[in-house]
Amino acid sequence: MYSIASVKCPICGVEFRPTFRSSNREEAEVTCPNGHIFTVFVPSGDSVFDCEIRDWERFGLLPQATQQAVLEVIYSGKVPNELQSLMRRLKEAGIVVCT
Amino acid sequence: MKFVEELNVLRYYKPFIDAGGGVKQVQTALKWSEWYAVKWWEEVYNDLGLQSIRESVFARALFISLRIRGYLRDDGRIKKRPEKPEYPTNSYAIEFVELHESFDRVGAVNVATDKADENTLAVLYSTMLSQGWYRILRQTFLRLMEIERYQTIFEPIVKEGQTAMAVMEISTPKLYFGFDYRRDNVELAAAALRVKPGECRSEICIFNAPTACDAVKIARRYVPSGVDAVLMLHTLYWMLDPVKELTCISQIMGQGGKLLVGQQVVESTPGLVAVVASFGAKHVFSWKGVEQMLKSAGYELSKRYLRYMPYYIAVWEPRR
Repeated sequence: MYSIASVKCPICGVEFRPTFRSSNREEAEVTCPNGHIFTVFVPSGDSVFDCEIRDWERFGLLPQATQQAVLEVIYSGKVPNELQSLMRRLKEAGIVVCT
Repeated sequence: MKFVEELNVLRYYKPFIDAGGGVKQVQTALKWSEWYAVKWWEEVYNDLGLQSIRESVFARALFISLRIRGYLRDDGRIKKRPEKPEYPTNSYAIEFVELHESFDRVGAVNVATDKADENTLAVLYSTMLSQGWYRILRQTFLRLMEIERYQTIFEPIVKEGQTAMAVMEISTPKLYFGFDYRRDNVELAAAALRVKPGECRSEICIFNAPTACDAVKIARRYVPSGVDAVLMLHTLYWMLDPVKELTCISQIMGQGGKLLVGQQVVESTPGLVAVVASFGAKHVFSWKGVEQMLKSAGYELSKRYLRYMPYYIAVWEPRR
Protein backbone atom coordinates (compact mmCIF):
# COMPACT_ATOMS: atom_id res chain seq x y z
CA MET A 1 0.00 0.00 0.00
CA TYR A 2 1.07 3.55 -0.74
CA SER A 3 0.49 6.30 1.80
CA ILE A 4 0.55 10.09 1.76
CA ALA A 5 0.56 12.75 4.49
CA SER A 6 -2.42 13.05 6.89
CA VAL A 7 -5.69 14.30 5.48
CA LYS A 8 -8.85 15.61 7.10
CA CYS A 9 -12.15 13.98 6.26
CA PRO A 10 -14.39 16.71 4.77
CA ILE A 11 -17.49 15.04 6.29
CA CYS A 12 -16.62 14.19 9.92
CA GLY A 13 -13.35 16.13 10.27
CA VAL A 14 -11.28 13.18 11.53
CA GLU A 15 -7.60 13.37 10.64
CA PHE A 16 -5.98 10.18 9.38
CA ARG A 17 -3.23 8.91 7.15
CA PRO A 18 -4.83 7.19 4.16
CA THR A 19 -3.34 4.25 2.35
CA PHE A 20 -4.25 3.08 -1.10
CA ARG A 21 -2.88 1.12 -4.02
CA SER A 22 0.36 2.37 -5.53
CA SER A 23 -0.70 4.56 -8.36
CA ASN A 24 0.46 7.00 -10.98
CA ARG A 25 -2.90 8.66 -11.00
CA GLU A 26 -3.29 12.17 -9.64
CA GLU A 27 -6.40 11.33 -7.66
CA ALA A 28 -7.26 8.47 -5.33
CA GLU A 29 -10.39 7.45 -3.52
CA VAL A 30 -9.90 6.99 0.23
CA THR A 31 -12.12 5.97 3.15
CA CYS A 32 -11.85 7.66 6.54
CA PRO A 33 -11.99 5.58 9.79
CA ASN A 34 -15.71 6.49 10.04
CA GLY A 35 -16.44 5.07 6.61
CA HIS A 36 -16.77 8.31 4.60
CA ILE A 37 -15.43 8.03 1.07
CA PHE A 38 -13.80 11.01 -0.67
CA THR A 39 -11.16 11.82 -3.24
CA VAL A 40 -7.66 13.11 -2.45
CA PHE A 41 -5.09 14.67 -4.73
CA VAL A 42 -1.90 12.63 -4.99
CA PRO A 43 1.10 14.60 -6.18
CA SER A 44 2.63 12.75 -9.12
CA GLY A 45 6.31 12.83 -9.94
CA ASP A 46 9.22 14.26 -7.98
CA SER A 47 10.71 17.68 -7.54
CA VAL A 48 14.23 18.82 -8.31
CA PHE A 49 15.96 21.94 -7.00
CA ASP A 50 18.72 24.10 -8.41
CA CYS A 51 19.61 21.90 -11.34
CA GLU A 52 21.76 22.86 -14.26
CA ILE A 53 23.16 21.29 -17.39
CA ARG A 54 26.80 20.54 -16.63
CA ASP A 55 27.78 18.73 -19.82
CA TRP A 56 26.28 20.57 -22.81
CA GLU A 57 28.17 18.41 -25.30
CA ARG A 58 26.51 15.20 -24.17
CA PHE A 59 23.22 16.98 -23.51
CA GLY A 60 23.33 18.00 -27.19
CA LEU A 61 23.23 14.32 -28.16
CA LEU A 62 19.64 14.06 -26.94
CA PRO A 63 16.72 14.52 -29.33
CA GLN A 64 15.52 18.13 -29.55
CA ALA A 65 12.14 17.40 -27.96
CA THR A 66 13.81 15.59 -25.04
CA GLN A 67 16.23 18.49 -24.51
CA GLN A 68 13.29 20.86 -24.29
CA ALA A 69 11.43 18.59 -21.88
CA VAL A 70 14.50 18.35 -19.61
CA LEU A 71 14.99 22.12 -19.68
CA GLU A 72 11.36 22.58 -18.70
CA VAL A 73 11.85 20.20 -15.77
CA ILE A 74 14.86 22.24 -14.66
CA TYR A 75 13.01 25.57 -14.95
CA SER A 76 9.86 24.33 -13.23
CA GLY A 77 11.52 22.04 -10.67
CA LYS A 78 8.83 19.41 -11.28
CA VAL A 79 9.57 16.03 -12.80
CA PRO A 80 6.62 14.32 -14.46
CA ASN A 81 6.46 10.57 -13.90
CA GLU A 82 7.47 9.70 -17.45
CA LEU A 83 10.70 11.71 -17.12
CA GLN A 84 11.75 10.49 -13.66
CA SER A 85 14.04 7.74 -14.91
CA LEU A 86 15.61 9.93 -17.56
CA MET A 87 16.35 12.68 -15.01
CA ARG A 88 18.01 10.13 -12.74
CA ARG A 89 20.09 8.78 -15.62
CA LEU A 90 21.13 12.33 -16.60
CA LYS A 91 22.23 12.99 -13.03
CA GLU A 92 24.11 9.67 -12.82
CA ALA A 93 25.88 10.48 -16.08
CA GLY A 94 26.86 13.91 -14.75
CA ILE A 95 25.05 15.64 -17.60
CA VAL A 96 22.65 17.34 -15.18
CA VAL A 97 23.79 18.40 -11.73
CA CYS A 98 21.40 19.32 -8.91
CA THR A 99 22.46 20.84 -5.62
CA MET B 1 2.55 -12.51 -46.94
CA LYS B 2 3.60 -8.83 -46.94
CA PHE B 3 0.09 -7.74 -47.97
CA VAL B 4 -1.52 -9.79 -45.17
CA GLU B 5 0.97 -8.35 -42.69
CA GLU B 6 0.14 -4.79 -43.80
CA LEU B 7 -3.59 -5.45 -43.44
CA ASN B 8 -3.01 -6.85 -39.95
CA VAL B 9 -1.00 -3.78 -38.97
CA LEU B 10 -3.96 -1.58 -39.90
CA ARG B 11 -6.31 -3.95 -38.13
CA TYR B 12 -4.41 -4.34 -34.88
CA TYR B 13 -2.13 -1.35 -34.66
CA LYS B 14 -4.35 1.48 -35.87
CA PRO B 15 -4.07 3.73 -32.76
CA PHE B 16 -0.29 3.76 -33.20
CA ILE B 17 -0.54 4.56 -36.91
CA ASP B 18 -3.14 7.28 -36.32
CA ALA B 19 -0.96 8.94 -33.67
CA GLY B 20 2.02 8.69 -36.00
CA GLY B 21 0.19 10.78 -38.60
CA GLY B 22 -1.18 7.96 -40.76
CA VAL B 23 0.38 5.25 -42.90
CA LYS B 24 2.56 7.58 -45.01
CA GLN B 25 4.12 9.35 -42.06
CA VAL B 26 4.83 6.07 -40.27
CA GLN B 27 6.33 4.63 -43.45
CA THR B 28 8.56 7.71 -43.81
CA ALA B 29 9.77 7.26 -40.25
CA LEU B 30 10.48 3.57 -40.89
CA LYS B 31 12.40 4.45 -44.06
CA TRP B 32 14.67 6.63 -41.95
CA SER B 33 15.38 3.61 -39.77
CA GLU B 34 16.50 1.72 -42.89
CA TRP B 35 18.49 4.67 -44.20
CA TYR B 36 20.39 5.06 -40.93
CA ALA B 37 20.97 1.30 -40.66
CA VAL B 38 22.71 1.31 -44.08
CA LYS B 39 24.74 4.39 -43.11
CA TRP B 40 25.85 2.79 -39.83
CA TRP B 41 26.67 -0.54 -41.44
CA GLU B 42 28.80 1.19 -44.08
CA GLU B 43 30.76 2.99 -41.37
CA VAL B 44 31.23 -0.19 -39.32
CA TYR B 45 32.09 -2.32 -42.35
CA ASN B 46 34.63 0.20 -43.70
CA ASP B 47 36.35 0.34 -40.33
CA LEU B 48 36.06 -3.18 -38.98
CA GLY B 49 34.96 -5.42 -41.85
CA LEU B 50 32.63 -8.40 -41.65
CA GLN B 51 34.48 -9.62 -38.54
CA SER B 52 32.48 -6.99 -36.61
CA ILE B 53 29.38 -9.22 -36.59
CA ARG B 54 31.19 -11.73 -34.40
CA GLU B 55 32.23 -9.13 -31.89
CA SER B 56 29.24 -6.84 -31.64
CA VAL B 57 25.50 -7.57 -31.32
CA PHE B 58 24.91 -4.09 -32.75
CA ALA B 59 26.88 -4.90 -35.94
CA ARG B 60 25.19 -8.33 -36.16
CA ALA B 61 21.74 -6.73 -35.92
CA LEU B 62 22.61 -4.34 -38.74
CA PHE B 63 24.08 -7.05 -40.94
CA ILE B 64 21.23 -9.55 -40.57
CA SER B 65 18.42 -7.04 -40.94
CA LEU B 66 19.98 -5.36 -43.97
CA ARG B 67 20.92 -8.62 -45.66
CA ILE B 68 17.37 -9.99 -45.50
CA ARG B 69 16.20 -6.72 -47.09
CA GLY B 70 18.64 -7.19 -49.94
CA TYR B 71 20.85 -4.20 -49.12
CA LEU B 72 23.98 -6.28 -48.50
CA ARG B 73 25.90 -9.05 -50.23
CA ASP B 74 26.92 -12.11 -48.22
CA ASP B 75 30.41 -10.64 -47.80
CA GLY B 76 28.95 -7.51 -46.19
CA ARG B 77 29.45 -5.13 -49.12
CA ILE B 78 26.57 -2.81 -49.90
CA LYS B 79 24.51 -3.97 -52.88
CA LYS B 80 22.01 -1.12 -53.01
CA ARG B 81 21.26 2.02 -51.05
CA PRO B 82 17.91 3.39 -49.95
CA GLU B 83 17.09 6.92 -51.06
CA LYS B 84 17.27 9.53 -48.34
CA PRO B 85 13.62 9.88 -47.22
CA GLU B 86 11.75 13.13 -46.74
CA TYR B 87 11.66 14.42 -43.20
CA PRO B 88 8.34 13.52 -41.51
CA THR B 89 6.00 16.25 -40.30
CA ASN B 90 4.15 14.38 -37.55
CA SER B 91 5.71 15.05 -34.15
CA TYR B 92 5.77 11.38 -33.08
CA ALA B 93 7.33 10.35 -36.37
CA ILE B 94 9.90 13.14 -35.92
CA GLU B 95 10.69 11.87 -32.40
CA PHE B 96 11.39 8.43 -33.85
CA VAL B 97 13.77 9.88 -36.46
CA GLU B 98 15.37 12.11 -33.83
CA LEU B 99 16.27 9.04 -31.77
CA HIS B 100 18.19 7.71 -34.78
CA GLU B 101 19.87 11.11 -35.25
CA SER B 102 20.94 11.15 -31.61
CA PHE B 103 22.36 7.68 -31.90
CA ASP B 104 24.14 8.66 -35.10
CA ARG B 105 25.94 11.41 -33.18
CA VAL B 106 27.31 8.82 -30.73
CA GLY B 107 28.94 7.09 -33.70
CA ALA B 108 28.28 3.60 -35.08
CA VAL B 109 31.97 2.60 -35.00
CA ASN B 110 32.27 3.78 -31.40
CA VAL B 111 29.32 1.58 -30.49
CA ALA B 112 30.56 -1.45 -32.44
CA THR B 113 33.99 -1.21 -30.79
CA ASP B 114 32.59 -0.65 -27.28
CA LYS B 115 34.11 2.81 -27.16
CA ALA B 116 30.82 4.65 -26.72
CA ASP B 117 30.25 6.03 -23.24
CA GLU B 118 28.02 3.58 -21.35
CA ASN B 119 26.23 6.36 -19.45
CA THR B 120 25.40 8.17 -22.67
CA LEU B 121 23.87 5.00 -24.10
CA ALA B 122 21.89 4.49 -20.86
CA VAL B 123 20.58 8.06 -21.18
CA LEU B 124 19.57 7.41 -24.79
CA TYR B 125 17.81 4.20 -23.80
CA SER B 126 15.93 6.06 -21.10
CA THR B 127 15.12 8.76 -23.65
CA MET B 128 13.63 6.19 -26.01
CA LEU B 129 11.50 4.68 -23.25
CA SER B 130 10.13 8.13 -22.35
CA GLN B 131 9.46 9.30 -25.90
CA GLY B 132 5.87 9.80 -26.99
CA TRP B 133 5.97 7.37 -29.92
CA TYR B 134 7.22 4.61 -27.62
CA ARG B 135 4.50 5.41 -25.06
CA ILE B 136 1.84 5.00 -27.74
CA LEU B 137 3.47 1.79 -28.98
CA ARG B 138 3.35 0.44 -25.42
CA GLN B 139 -0.25 1.50 -24.85
CA THR B 140 -1.38 0.05 -28.18
CA PHE B 141 0.25 -3.27 -27.31
CA LEU B 142 -1.36 -3.42 -23.86
CA ARG B 143 -4.80 -2.54 -25.25
CA LEU B 144 -4.44 -5.14 -27.99
CA MET B 145 -3.53 -7.72 -25.35
CA GLU B 146 -6.56 -6.63 -23.27
CA ILE B 147 -4.33 -6.34 -20.26
CA GLU B 148 -7.28 -5.40 -18.03
CA ARG B 149 -8.46 -9.03 -18.23
CA TYR B 150 -5.50 -10.22 -16.16
CA GLN B 151 -5.52 -9.89 -12.38
CA THR B 152 -2.07 -11.29 -11.62
CA ILE B 153 0.83 -10.36 -13.88
CA PHE B 154 4.49 -11.37 -13.93
CA GLU B 155 6.84 -9.12 -15.88
CA PRO B 156 10.35 -10.44 -16.49
CA ILE B 157 12.98 -7.68 -16.85
CA VAL B 158 10.96 -4.61 -15.93
CA LYS B 159 13.62 -2.22 -17.23
CA GLU B 160 12.79 1.26 -15.89
CA GLY B 161 9.21 0.36 -15.00
CA GLN B 162 7.47 2.16 -17.87
CA THR B 163 5.52 -0.91 -19.00
CA ALA B 164 4.30 -1.53 -15.45
CA MET B 165 3.28 2.12 -15.18
CA ALA B 166 1.39 1.85 -18.45
CA VAL B 167 -0.44 -1.22 -17.14
CA MET B 168 -1.47 0.73 -14.01
CA GLU B 169 -2.88 3.48 -16.22
CA ILE B 170 -5.20 0.94 -17.84
CA SER B 171 -6.13 -1.36 -14.98
CA THR B 172 -5.45 -2.22 -11.36
CA PRO B 173 -4.26 -5.82 -11.19
CA LYS B 174 -4.37 -7.62 -7.85
CA LEU B 175 -0.68 -8.43 -8.09
CA TYR B 176 2.02 -7.17 -10.42
CA PHE B 177 5.34 -8.92 -9.92
CA GLY B 178 8.36 -7.67 -11.84
CA PHE B 179 12.06 -8.32 -11.69
CA ASP B 180 15.22 -7.13 -13.37
CA TYR B 181 18.78 -8.46 -13.25
CA ARG B 182 20.13 -4.89 -13.18
CA ARG B 183 20.02 -3.17 -9.80
CA ASP B 184 19.82 0.30 -11.34
CA ASN B 185 16.72 -0.72 -13.28
CA VAL B 186 15.13 -2.19 -10.14
CA GLU B 187 15.70 1.08 -8.29
CA LEU B 188 14.35 3.19 -11.15
CA ALA B 189 11.30 0.98 -11.63
CA ALA B 190 10.54 0.83 -7.90
CA ALA B 191 10.88 4.62 -7.59
CA ALA B 192 8.60 5.20 -10.57
CA LEU B 193 6.02 2.80 -9.15
CA ARG B 194 6.47 4.14 -5.60
CA VAL B 195 7.28 0.83 -3.99
CA LYS B 196 10.26 -0.48 -2.05
CA PRO B 197 12.46 -2.80 -4.11
CA GLY B 198 12.67 -6.34 -2.78
CA GLU B 199 9.42 -6.09 -0.81
CA CYS B 200 6.02 -7.46 -1.65
CA ARG B 201 3.75 -5.61 0.79
CA SER B 202 1.56 -3.94 -1.81
CA GLU B 203 0.09 -5.10 -5.10
CA ILE B 204 3.24 -4.13 -6.96
CA CYS B 205 6.42 -6.08 -6.20
CA ILE B 206 9.74 -5.29 -7.84
CA PHE B 207 12.67 -7.61 -7.17
CA ASN B 208 16.28 -7.90 -8.19
CA ALA B 209 17.09 -11.40 -9.46
CA PRO B 210 19.83 -12.64 -11.76
CA THR B 211 17.53 -14.64 -14.04
CA ALA B 212 13.85 -15.40 -14.60
CA CYS B 213 14.43 -18.80 -12.96
CA ASP B 214 15.48 -17.09 -9.70
CA ALA B 215 12.63 -14.58 -9.94
CA VAL B 216 10.05 -17.33 -10.45
CA LYS B 217 11.18 -18.97 -7.19
CA ILE B 218 10.56 -15.70 -5.33
CA ALA B 219 7.27 -15.00 -7.11
CA ARG B 220 5.85 -18.43 -6.27
CA ARG B 221 5.90 -17.46 -2.59
CA TYR B 222 3.38 -14.71 -3.32
CA VAL B 223 1.32 -16.40 -6.04
CA PRO B 224 1.49 -20.15 -5.33
CA SER B 225 -1.30 -20.85 -7.80
CA GLY B 226 0.52 -19.00 -10.58
CA VAL B 227 -0.23 -15.82 -12.52
CA ASP B 228 -2.82 -15.07 -15.18
CA ALA B 229 -0.35 -13.45 -17.56
CA VAL B 230 3.34 -13.04 -18.21
CA LEU B 231 4.05 -9.76 -19.93
CA MET B 232 7.08 -9.61 -22.24
CA LEU B 233 7.23 -6.42 -24.28
CA HIS B 234 10.63 -6.17 -25.96
CA THR B 235 12.12 -8.40 -23.29
CA LEU B 236 13.30 -11.62 -24.95
CA TYR B 237 16.54 -10.17 -26.28
CA TRP B 238 17.66 -9.08 -22.82
CA MET B 239 17.69 -12.67 -21.53
CA LEU B 240 21.02 -14.43 -21.36
CA ASP B 241 19.54 -17.86 -22.06
CA PRO B 242 16.00 -17.26 -23.41
CA VAL B 243 14.90 -20.91 -23.80
CA LYS B 244 15.99 -21.80 -20.26
CA GLU B 245 14.39 -18.70 -18.78
CA LEU B 246 11.17 -19.16 -20.76
CA THR B 247 10.98 -22.74 -19.45
CA CYS B 248 11.26 -21.43 -15.88
CA ILE B 249 8.64 -18.76 -16.61
CA SER B 250 6.10 -21.43 -17.60
CA GLN B 251 6.27 -22.62 -13.95
CA ILE B 252 4.81 -19.35 -12.67
CA MET B 253 1.86 -19.51 -15.06
CA GLY B 254 -1.43 -20.59 -13.53
CA GLN B 255 -4.19 -22.59 -15.18
CA GLY B 256 -5.08 -20.84 -18.45
CA GLY B 257 -2.18 -18.43 -18.04
CA LYS B 258 -1.02 -16.51 -21.12
CA LEU B 259 2.36 -15.32 -22.30
CA LEU B 260 1.93 -11.95 -23.98
CA VAL B 261 4.83 -11.37 -26.35
CA GLY B 262 5.84 -8.22 -28.19
CA GLN B 263 9.31 -8.41 -29.67
CA GLN B 264 11.36 -6.38 -32.14
CA VAL B 265 12.82 -8.69 -34.74
CA VAL B 266 15.30 -8.27 -37.59
CA GLU B 267 12.44 -8.00 -40.09
CA SER B 268 11.08 -4.94 -38.19
CA THR B 269 12.90 -1.61 -38.15
CA PRO B 270 16.60 -2.29 -38.84
CA GLY B 271 17.98 0.92 -37.35
CA LEU B 272 15.90 0.63 -34.21
CA VAL B 273 16.73 -3.05 -33.69
CA ALA B 274 20.42 -2.15 -33.89
CA VAL B 275 20.02 0.82 -31.55
CA VAL B 276 18.38 -1.40 -28.91
CA ALA B 277 21.11 -4.00 -29.41
CA SER B 278 23.65 -1.31 -28.55
CA PHE B 279 21.78 -0.62 -25.30
CA GLY B 280 22.76 -4.08 -24.07
CA ALA B 281 20.46 -6.58 -25.78
CA LYS B 282 22.08 -9.98 -25.94
CA HIS B 283 20.44 -11.38 -29.06
CA VAL B 284 18.86 -10.48 -32.34
CA PHE B 285 15.94 -12.62 -33.48
CA SER B 286 13.91 -13.21 -36.58
CA TRP B 287 10.17 -13.66 -36.01
CA LYS B 288 10.51 -17.35 -36.87
CA GLY B 289 13.41 -17.57 -34.44
CA VAL B 290 11.18 -16.17 -31.69
CA GLU B 291 8.53 -18.80 -32.41
CA GLN B 292 11.05 -21.66 -32.53
CA MET B 293 12.44 -20.54 -29.21
CA LEU B 294 9.00 -20.43 -27.60
CA LYS B 295 8.15 -23.87 -28.96
CA SER B 296 11.35 -25.39 -27.64
CA ALA B 297 10.65 -23.84 -24.25
CA GLY B 298 7.33 -25.74 -24.12
CA TYR B 299 4.79 -23.19 -25.33
CA GLU B 300 2.14 -23.33 -28.02
CA LEU B 301 0.80 -20.47 -30.08
CA SER B 302 -2.59 -19.20 -28.98
CA LYS B 303 -2.88 -16.25 -31.38
CA ARG B 304 -0.43 -14.41 -33.60
CA TYR B 305 -1.33 -10.78 -34.35
CA LEU B 306 1.72 -9.52 -36.23
CA ARG B 307 4.85 -11.18 -37.57
CA TYR B 308 7.23 -8.25 -37.72
CA MET B 309 5.64 -4.90 -38.51
CA PRO B 310 6.04 -2.81 -36.43
CA TYR B 311 7.23 -5.82 -34.36
CA TYR B 312 6.27 -9.41 -33.52
CA ILE B 313 3.10 -9.68 -31.42
CA ALA B 314 1.49 -12.92 -30.25
CA VAL B 315 -0.11 -14.70 -27.32
CA TRP B 316 1.34 -18.07 -26.26
CA GLU B 317 0.46 -20.55 -23.56
CA PRO B 318 2.32 -23.45 -21.94
CA ARG B 319 1.74 -26.84 -23.60
CA ARG B 320 -0.11 -28.86 -20.98
